[in-house]
Amino acid sequence: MTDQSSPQPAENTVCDGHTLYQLALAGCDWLDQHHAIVNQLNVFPVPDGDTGTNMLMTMRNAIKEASDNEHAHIGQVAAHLAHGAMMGSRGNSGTILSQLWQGFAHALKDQPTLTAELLVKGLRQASDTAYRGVIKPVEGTILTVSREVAEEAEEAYQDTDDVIDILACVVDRAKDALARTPEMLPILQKAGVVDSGGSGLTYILEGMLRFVRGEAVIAAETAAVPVEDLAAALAPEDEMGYGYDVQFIIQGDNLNVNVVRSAIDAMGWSTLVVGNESAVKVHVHVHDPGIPLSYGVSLGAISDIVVENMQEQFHEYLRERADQPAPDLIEASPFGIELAGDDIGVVAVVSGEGLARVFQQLGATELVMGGQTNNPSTQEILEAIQRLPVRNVILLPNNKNIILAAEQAARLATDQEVIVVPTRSMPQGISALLPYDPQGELDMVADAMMQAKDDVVTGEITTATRSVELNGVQVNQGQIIGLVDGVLATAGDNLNQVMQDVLAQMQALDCELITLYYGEDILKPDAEELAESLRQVYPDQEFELVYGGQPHYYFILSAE
Amino acid sequence: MPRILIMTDSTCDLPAEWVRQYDIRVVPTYVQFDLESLADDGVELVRADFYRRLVSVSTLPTTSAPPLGQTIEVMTQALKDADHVIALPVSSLLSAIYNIFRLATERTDPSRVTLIDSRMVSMGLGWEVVIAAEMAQAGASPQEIEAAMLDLQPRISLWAALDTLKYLRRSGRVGWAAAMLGDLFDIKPVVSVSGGEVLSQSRVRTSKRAFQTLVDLARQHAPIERLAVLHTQYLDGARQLFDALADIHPNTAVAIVDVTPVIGVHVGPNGLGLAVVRRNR
Repeated sequence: MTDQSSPQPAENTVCDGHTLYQLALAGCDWLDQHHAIVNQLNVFPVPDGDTGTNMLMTMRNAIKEASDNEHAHIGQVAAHLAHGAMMGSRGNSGTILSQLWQGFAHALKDQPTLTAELLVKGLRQASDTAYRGVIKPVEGTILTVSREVAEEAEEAYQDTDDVIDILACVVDRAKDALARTPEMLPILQKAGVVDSGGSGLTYILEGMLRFVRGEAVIAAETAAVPVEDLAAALAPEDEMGYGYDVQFIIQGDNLNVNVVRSAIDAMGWSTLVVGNESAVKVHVHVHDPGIPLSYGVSLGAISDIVVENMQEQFHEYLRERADQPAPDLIEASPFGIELAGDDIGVVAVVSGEGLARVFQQLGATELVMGGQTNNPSTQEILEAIQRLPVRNVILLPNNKNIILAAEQAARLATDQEVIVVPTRSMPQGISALLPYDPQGELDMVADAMMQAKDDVVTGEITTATRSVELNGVQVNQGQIIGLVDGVLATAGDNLNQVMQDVLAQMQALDCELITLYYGEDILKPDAEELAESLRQVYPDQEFELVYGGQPHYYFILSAE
Repeated sequence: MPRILIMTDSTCDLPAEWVRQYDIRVVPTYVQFDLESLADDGVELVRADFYRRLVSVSTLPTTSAPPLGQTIEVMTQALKDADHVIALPVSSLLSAIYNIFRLATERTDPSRVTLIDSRMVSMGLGWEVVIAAEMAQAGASPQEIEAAMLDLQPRISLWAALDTLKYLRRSGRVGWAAAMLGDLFDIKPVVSVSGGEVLSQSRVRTSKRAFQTLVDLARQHAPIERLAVLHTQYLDGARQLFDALADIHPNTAVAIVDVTPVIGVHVGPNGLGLAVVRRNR
């Protein structure tokens, strides 16, 4: 694209219209090489990842507009570039870029050539016009970079009237200002990135400098691969990311390597299991390192434990590969909300690490671990309430045997306003949590949650601890039993059959969505297989399978 | 009587016949599939095609504000055709378009343009535009129209129920999304546009419940003066929602519209929404 046959302008103290056009072209090409990186930096004002694209499209249109007039005098070329940028500007960053060109062109109006004095004036007017172009200028953005660039040009002009020298100073300063943007704009700091628009502008200026120095502005084969491509080439195995690399040795008696291998294999990928009856070496990649480790502990003592976060290694790798001073990948925003003062906080009693994650993600900030055979004390619940830094609290007991303790804890928490929404099961608790609004009125939010808890029917699948006849159901100790909303509904020896009986009694046919939370004793592939067979029976219902990790209950079901 | 024209952007979702009837001047926003940029003007990009492509592409499209130059052109033409222009773009808190309209106003004839922040989007904005246009036709002054818009804005509500979180997650645009929606199972968020911003209204897990939430919200806000049902490639659902509100919607001033890609890119297909104007009591 770029005409590189005459990279050096005739003189370093002046620049004509044609050279300005070539400079713009070089800036555009260099931005083109890096626009994917600029996109990935985009977190401000909205993280929609299109800053690089918008700036590139704006530059392309500027060049297109000027291409018919590239041999005109510099004032005209600048005016064409500015007009093209304005007509083709896209989005916020593109609009600001067009304003930079606008101001620059205004300073060069009616001038045949560019001198150092005009360059300095042009950069100043560019920045001033850009600042006026936004309603509330924010520092730590492309505006800051443009202003420091103008200041640097003014300072450099004290010492030299060589436009290339000035441009070189300007590019250094742009990079320096860019590196400091996270100090000025907290959201950048939080995301661990520099400003995207500022980065786009820096690439444009750098492209110009490379051009006058005779350096390539089209990336060579060996140049850094754009992060986006690199990320695609190294895509994780699934959408949950890269997970953890887990290694350990199990020491025990009568270990069966084949059984261990098939169990570990079902938990993750890249499995390697070797050993003998007394020691088995395990290597596996998983999303949750706790699963293989717990499994190992159930067989014997584990040692030589190594757990590595592959996601981090991947990011580390990308950072090293990408020719960039700042990290390029933006971490997904962390879950969790920050509460204070009159906000409403939620305490939930939860059993199972998977279910705990569900409650956390939906906004329950304090969790008390406990359930059917492990009821938490009033004191534990009270402490959880008191840990919340807010005056208003909603408490979800999620088990009928815990409601009383919850109510007692609520009465004891005299410094806070606590309402118990008496959820009798995990699915009821999850359903109640859906309309939770931390900024709402306590009574209204509690009302909405109270109503929402009854939007689901709960099913529970567990083992009978004794033989009994209840509700007309004959149960033998050790049999699989199914409960619907806490009432014994069916018993049998076949898990699949018990699940089907329970779903039938839950009126699943009239429901839209069935969620299956599988417990700690069920392996994921078995759960998947079972869910698939239930899908065959209920083709019109949507099924979601979620790891609950609860003890004692093979499955907890919710139908709505 | 001086002639007043209303100028807005394509996120207003106004049906074409109303645009013609009131001679509304609409600046298109742009949708970018990679480096292919298409104007949301019903010609370069037809909305049905947008949603068809949305579900099939691996990289989500992005949307962007129109070029300042194009906005200036539309405004200049409107100023030629009328004595005064009411510029009424999408909420300044949702898009760069408001700032572009502001710059266009400065560069044309600020004395003949009244710029108003609609604090709305889609048919919430659409209703402001229609009411402003009706007032202009009835001979109201720019000052009267501006005052009426400020009075009207608190009476407009917009709610939308997303069928899936998939697109919102991929677009990353709505800040609160990451806070309480999680990634362990699918949730159908119900959102509102209030005070110019998108806020979380509720979270539900079934489409039946999402539908009912919209119906309940509308009923809580009755009596209703104007009602638009919004959808993203889900006309059947929109018709059902329209019918479910038969007893509270006005006989005139109703519309069923497919929603701007600016919203659609975050919502994905099968979303439903309502834009209502409450009666002034």
